[in-house]
Amino acid sequence: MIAMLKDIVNKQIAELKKLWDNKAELLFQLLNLAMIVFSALMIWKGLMFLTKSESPVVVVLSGSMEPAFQRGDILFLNNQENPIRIGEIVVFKIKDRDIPIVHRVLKVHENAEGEVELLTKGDNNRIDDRSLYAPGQLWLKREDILGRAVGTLRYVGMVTIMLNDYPMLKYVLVGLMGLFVLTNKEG
Amino acid sequence: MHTVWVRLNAVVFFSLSVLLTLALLASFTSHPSILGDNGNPSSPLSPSIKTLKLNSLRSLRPHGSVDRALFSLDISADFNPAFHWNVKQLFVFICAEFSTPSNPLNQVVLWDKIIEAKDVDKIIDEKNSIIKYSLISQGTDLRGVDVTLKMYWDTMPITSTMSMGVGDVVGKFTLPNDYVSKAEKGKVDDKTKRRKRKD
Repeated sequence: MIAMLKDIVNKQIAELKKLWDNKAELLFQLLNLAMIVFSALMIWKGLMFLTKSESPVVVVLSGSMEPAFQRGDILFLNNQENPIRIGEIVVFKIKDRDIPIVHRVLKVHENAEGEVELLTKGDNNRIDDRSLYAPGQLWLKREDILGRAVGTLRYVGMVTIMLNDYPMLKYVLVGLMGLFVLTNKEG
Repeated sequence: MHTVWVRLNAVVFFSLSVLLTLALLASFTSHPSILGDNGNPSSPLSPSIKTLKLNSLRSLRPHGSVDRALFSLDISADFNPAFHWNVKQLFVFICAEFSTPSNPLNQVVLWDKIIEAKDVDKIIDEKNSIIKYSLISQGTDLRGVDVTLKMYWDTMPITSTMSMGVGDVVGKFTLPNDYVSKAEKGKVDDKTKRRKRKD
């Protein structure tokens, strides 16, 4: 096993050296790498445009919505203009907090101007979310909402959670992927 | 050269595509619009709601700057029809809708229940059950307000998009014109309407 790994590493180094000597080839492979990165960026920005949400895909980080969503599920959001109504699952952001929260709308109060004030609660929590909101904040407004959850994929978000828990893994993974794209001859 | 890596890459990529295709197919074949259940109460997949009405008012009192009402409900519904192979759980809730001078639309959840696919008992039958969350307005404006009770169910699939349905059996009542404390039992003008389900 170790011999095999050593062999692979040696081959990679040889490839890199060869690449360094052949500048045209190096440029080509770098462009290849850039194309992959930019395609991913384009897909993300395209989704942002279609869903009108600043983060169209989020990962569930807590168990407060169990059994509907578990830690590691990913959610697809939609933030089209239509009004938020009772019982919908929304993702919202609280001032001075980095991580958005996924919870269900428990109360809707809409005034004559069409402005809504919302109160949310996690299905698995015993009380509503007032204690999670910013100090003195009683209600969520429309602009606090990043989007409503429309669909879910199980387990996929586990990768993100791992990358978050072990930041080193992120660099190792990205580095490895970059290396293989660079040295891959088939592209 | 890197046969191990190329092969590993191919296998991982292929299995991911297969998984994604299967998930999409599952989602497509059990989508509410394919199965004919768009939250439409006359669809065979919608639960049968028999009773949804006010039983008795316990109190209607001001709490600081807001009014708060507490009462009990009679609920009876069978949620078996709403389950098919791609349903993980239903989130069933009862919502009170009312309008006040400052807010034309108020929606407040009074009671909720999660029914999972693995639960044997998918029938709700509760008599005189006190609401889980009391009915609170944004001002002291609940006296004499007409309240409409509606039952919603949010279908959570295993893999697909979520969908919400609302029952056509609605409970209606009017809160009294004066505050009612727990001691004296308030009389409530019960206008619960029950429409017959057409199948």
